Amino acid sequence: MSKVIAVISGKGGVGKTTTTANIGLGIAMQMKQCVVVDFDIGQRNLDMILGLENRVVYDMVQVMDGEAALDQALIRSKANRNLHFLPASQTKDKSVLESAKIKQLLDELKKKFEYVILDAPAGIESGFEHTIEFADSAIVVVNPEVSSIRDSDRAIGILDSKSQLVKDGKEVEKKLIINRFDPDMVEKGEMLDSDDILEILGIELLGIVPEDKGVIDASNQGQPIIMNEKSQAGKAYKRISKRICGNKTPIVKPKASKGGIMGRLKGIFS
Amino acid sequence: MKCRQYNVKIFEIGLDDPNSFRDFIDANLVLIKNHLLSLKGTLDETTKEFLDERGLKYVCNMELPLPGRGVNEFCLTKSDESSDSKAEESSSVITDEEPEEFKMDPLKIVKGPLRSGQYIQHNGDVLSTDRINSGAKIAAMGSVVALGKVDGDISSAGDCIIITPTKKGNILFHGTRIDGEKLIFPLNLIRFEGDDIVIKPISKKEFN
Repeated sequence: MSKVIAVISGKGGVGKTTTTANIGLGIAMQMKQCVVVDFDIGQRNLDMILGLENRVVYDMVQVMDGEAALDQALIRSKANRNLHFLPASQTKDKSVLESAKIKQLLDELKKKFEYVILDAPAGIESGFEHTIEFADSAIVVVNPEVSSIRDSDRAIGILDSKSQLVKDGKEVEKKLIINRFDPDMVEKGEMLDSDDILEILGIELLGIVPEDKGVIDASNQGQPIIMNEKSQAGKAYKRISKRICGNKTPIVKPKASKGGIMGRLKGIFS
Repeated sequence: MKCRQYNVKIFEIGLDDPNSFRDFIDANLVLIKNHLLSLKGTLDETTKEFLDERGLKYVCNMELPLPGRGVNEFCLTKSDESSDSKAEESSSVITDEEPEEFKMDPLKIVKGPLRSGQYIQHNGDVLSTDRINSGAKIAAMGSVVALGKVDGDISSAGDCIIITPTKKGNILFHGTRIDGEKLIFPLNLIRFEGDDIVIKPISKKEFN
């Protein structure tokens, strides 16, 4: 049965689009048919992170308006044949979205794909509300900082009041990804620990992605970090993708380094 | 010298029509009984006696140092019942009934976490069993019992607030801000003793 998952955060710049690209590819690597949909109308970015920007011809707004067929707008990923991408319109704004058209589009996508991943825009305005409206579940992406957590908390509150599932008396499943986690900073007391974040937000943890400088370069190259076998962030996204697909992969919490060159040498000989 | 700073809620009301004024006061007594009234117009003897009988505190024709913000207007006519004021949605501010006694709404229980942006305004007592996160708010005309961690705002005009320790929360009891540093007990009881606000420990056993 097909599942629609909205990737939300409330705050911008926490790695929502990067997460969408990586888990989309990760799910495809699990041999599941997956589509990632960019709902950030007017601020399209997912195409670049997937390295597909030069292949965009039609967008989701044109599909919803009947100007293009869904198959014309869908782009197959170069990295994995199981992954498809539906781009947002770059020339229109969020006001073009209509509930009925979105539902129709998602119903069509659900017929074709096992996983439909929606990349929500930042903020809690109409674009966000349309993204969560017909989602079966949500992945909340936070950075370990208070402003990100408060904005996510706000986004969860809106999800719990405005999604169609809630209006139908059901519950929207919500899972948390803590992104850009730096265990060294946590150890120094400079960053919130994952337990603190979980206590505040009160939702289930899906995974912790460590801070990894390679993520920016990977995004710039259009090759999601999950393709890098050595990257810790890439490994974290792989584990997260497996969990989304129902595999019982244990959650790995990044550990602090042992401090400096001497500490690392001690670590090697201990 | 002892100096205290208070946040006082003031209701500014016109005295153009004394009968309507008295009706309004009686209808909204529960809302305004613990606040200062700033009256504009001529205060006749009958109205003065009316206010004194109800123990209301008021000033007449005083120029208040209002910065021009945070002012809510309450209307007297029935046609204005559809006002979009949130206070009027949750507590029947305007009524045709003669209020013989204060009518508080039943206890409101908030079971899940109160998240940022969520706002509970209740004309009665509120019991919160979970967290009150930063950016969330409870404003109650009655008492508030908060058993989870409080990082948000609580305002109570009731008999007491029972609350866990908090340094981030903004706690107002009858308009007076409670210093989080003084909430040192696992469960703190905030209430009046005479004119003073006191904070005492309360054991969970006692609470049960």
